[in-house]
Formats: sequence, C-alpha cells, structure tokens
Amino acid sequence: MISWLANPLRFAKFARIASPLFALAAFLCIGAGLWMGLFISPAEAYQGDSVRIMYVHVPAAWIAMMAYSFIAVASFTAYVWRHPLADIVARASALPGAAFTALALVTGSLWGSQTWMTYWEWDGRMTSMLVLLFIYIGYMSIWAVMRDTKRAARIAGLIAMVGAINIPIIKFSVDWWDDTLHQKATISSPGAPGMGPEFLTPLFLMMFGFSCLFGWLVINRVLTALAANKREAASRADKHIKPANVTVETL
Amino acid sequence: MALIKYELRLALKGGGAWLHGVLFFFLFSTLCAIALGGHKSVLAPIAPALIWLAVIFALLLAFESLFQEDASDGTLEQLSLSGLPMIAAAGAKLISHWILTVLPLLLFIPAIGYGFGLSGIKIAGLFNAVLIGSPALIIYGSFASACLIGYRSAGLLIILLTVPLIVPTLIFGLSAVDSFGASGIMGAPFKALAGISLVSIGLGLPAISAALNTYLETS
Repeated sequence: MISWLANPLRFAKFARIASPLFALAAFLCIGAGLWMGLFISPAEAYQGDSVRIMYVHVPAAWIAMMAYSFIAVASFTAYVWRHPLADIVARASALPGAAFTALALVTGSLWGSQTWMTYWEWDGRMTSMLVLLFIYIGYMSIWAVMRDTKRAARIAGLIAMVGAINIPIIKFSVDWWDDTLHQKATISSPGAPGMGPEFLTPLFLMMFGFSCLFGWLVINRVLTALAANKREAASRADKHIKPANVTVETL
Repeated sequence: MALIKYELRLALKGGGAWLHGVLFFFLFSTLCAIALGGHKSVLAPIAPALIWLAVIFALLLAFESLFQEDASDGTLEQLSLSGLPMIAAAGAKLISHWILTVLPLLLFIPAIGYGFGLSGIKIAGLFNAVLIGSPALIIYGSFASACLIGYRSAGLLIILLTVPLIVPTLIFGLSAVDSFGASGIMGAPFKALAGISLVSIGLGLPAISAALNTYLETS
C-alpha cells in the first residue's frame, strides 16, 4: 500500500478519491461528536459542564502525538528507501500536527482554568506537550531555513528520527519529575475507572473525526507541494531546454 | 587520537575561544548571585539548578562554531576523503570538544558551588552529575550544530533543536544532586543520567555523522 502510493501520479489518483472521503468523514464525525458532546452527553458529577472541553482536548492531544509518530515513520521511509514522496508527506504533516498540539495546550489550559483554578501549571503532561510543540517548531524551522530541499529533507528526517527516539525519554523524565496534577490516562490504563458510554461515544467520534481531518489536511498539503514542485521543475525545464515544442505532460 | 591532539593544539593556539564558556559560567553565576541578593541562605537551595543552567547555557554558546570552520576551510572534506569513517572523525571531534568545554566547567564547579554556599556533599554530587550527564548535552548540541552547518545565525535554531532533547538530562541531573548524599552515584537518577548519556552516544554519533555527510553531499 505504502510503496504503491510512493509514486506521485498514483498518489494524486488516490487523493482524488480519498480527499473528499476524508473531508466528508471528518465533517460528519466532528459534527456528530460536537452535537453529542454538547447536548446529549451529561455533565460530569464533579466537573460539571466544563468536562465537555474533553471532547476537543483529548482527541487533539492524541492527534498531536500520532502526527509526530507519522512524521517519524515517513522520515524513516524517506531516509531508508529514498521515497521522495515520504519526505513531502512528513513535511506536510508538521504544521497540522503542531496546530493540534497547540490546540491541545490551549483547550487544556481553558479546562484547567475551570477545574484546577489555574490556566497553567508545570505539570508533567502539560510540560511534555509544550516540549513536543518546541520539537515541532524546530522540525518546521529546518524546512523553513533550508533552501536546498534535498538537504532540508535529509536533515529534517534525521531530526524527526532523533526526536522520535527521545520523546519517550522526555515523556518518562517529565512524568517522573512531576506527576501530581493531571489526570492519568483514564481509558487505556489497566485498572483505570474508565468512562461511561455516554462520554465515550462522542469522544471516539471526535477522535475519528480529528484523524480524518488530519488526513484530509495532509493529503491536500501533499498535493499542493507536488503541484509546486511540478511548476518549479517545469520552469527550470523551460530555461534549460531550447526546442520550443516540448510538451510537458500534465497529470 | 591524532585528530584529538590536533583539535586541542588548534584550540590552544586559537586565541582562547575555548575559555569563553568558563567566562560565561562565571558571569552568569555572578549575575545570579547579585540578582538574588547575595545571601548564601537564599542561594544555596537553588544553587544546583542555577549551576546546571549555567553549564547548559555555557555549552549552548559553543555549538554554533563547532563545525563551521572545519566546513568552510575544507577540513571536513579532507577527513571524509582520508578514508576515516565519518563516525570516528565525529567522535574525535566530540571528545576534543568535551575536553575543551566541559572539563574547564567541571574544574570550576567546586569554586562556584562554594560561592553559592553549597555543602561539600552537594558539590560532589553536582560535579558527578555534570560529569555523567555532559555527554548527552554535548552530543545533542553537536547534532543540532551539524544539521545547521553553513547557516548564518544558526545560533537560536541550534538552541531550539537542542533544548527539547536535553530536558531529561536536566531533570535527572538535578535530582541526582539531591540523591547523591543518600546513595552516592548508584542512585536511580545517576543510573538514568548514565542511561541517557549512553543512548545519546548510540543514537547521536551516527546521526551527527549522517548530518555531516549530508552537508558534504549537498553543498
């Protein structure tokens, strides 16, 4: 599947079908999730209505980490098998990933202002999300400063991979440093109290919707990057090739 | 080995730029002492954190120029042509960089620690923590530096890329100072610190040499 998609032409064909599907799924799931989260699911016993921020906060944090893993895997693919498309995919995922990280931080801060009575606390999870945001910014700044895309791709890939190996270490160390305030993973921890289905349904809808939104954004950013590359290549070809009747085949 | 000696000789002849880190270390500590009122009773509880920060900032200053000269005068190309694996050349470079930057800081940690009113056992803990944690600091900073060879004003970007990666070292480095009195260098934070440094060596050296090779291939 991945190597089949590695060809830009086939990717464009895939994207023509997948992009609207992702957009539709994202629209439906986020719409349904928001509606259920805001109107159907009950207020939580202790936190009241502020618990509804969870339906944005938790999926955003989840996508933030998934997007980084995605970047790391794409970078690894690009680095080992030299698929140029994988670099473009990694690059395209960075900005949406950073945006979801920022969204998770902002919603977390708002939620905290209601339940912990503070907008910010140097708590383990918040701090490691902030560090993740710094890693995203560092990754994106490599692409921003390097004109030579070939070098930028390799260097950014290296940075993504080194970062990916370090993120668990950072996470562990920050948790060890302070793990007092933030609620622990409620859904996945063994023996955790868990949540009732009236909370879980909108949460999973939102997670799926956010994932589709992320996929839709990435596909379209990749298409944009491919189009820009093609135009650049075409203008370069125009400069160098003398004969006038060269036809550049379009997709 | 010859490469390390060469680097060291070059640095000694180079007008004392390697001393900038130590100088910064002293200036930063002096400013901290002045800003906090100069009372040892105030300074002592936060002194390990201040000294760790001073060490990190002093090291961060030196990364920008780490590979710059080797890249512009062709030393890097000669090294890659010499048949020496890039990873060995990078290792030699890092060892000499450690000797030039971390070693002087280590030697002055007792003096600054005394100035901040730390007890002998805390100073010993701090010394050991910096000693064990420093490979990770050097390697991640050098990695960022190798990624950005040839870019003007790479300084801030190097800091941006390095800081997230050295967060674990700082966290365990600080708790190592606290645990030193009770459990010596066999405490859990020291083990974590040593583990982080070992991971950084295993991960960072190949990454640094890959970044250097990328520079050579694409420049």
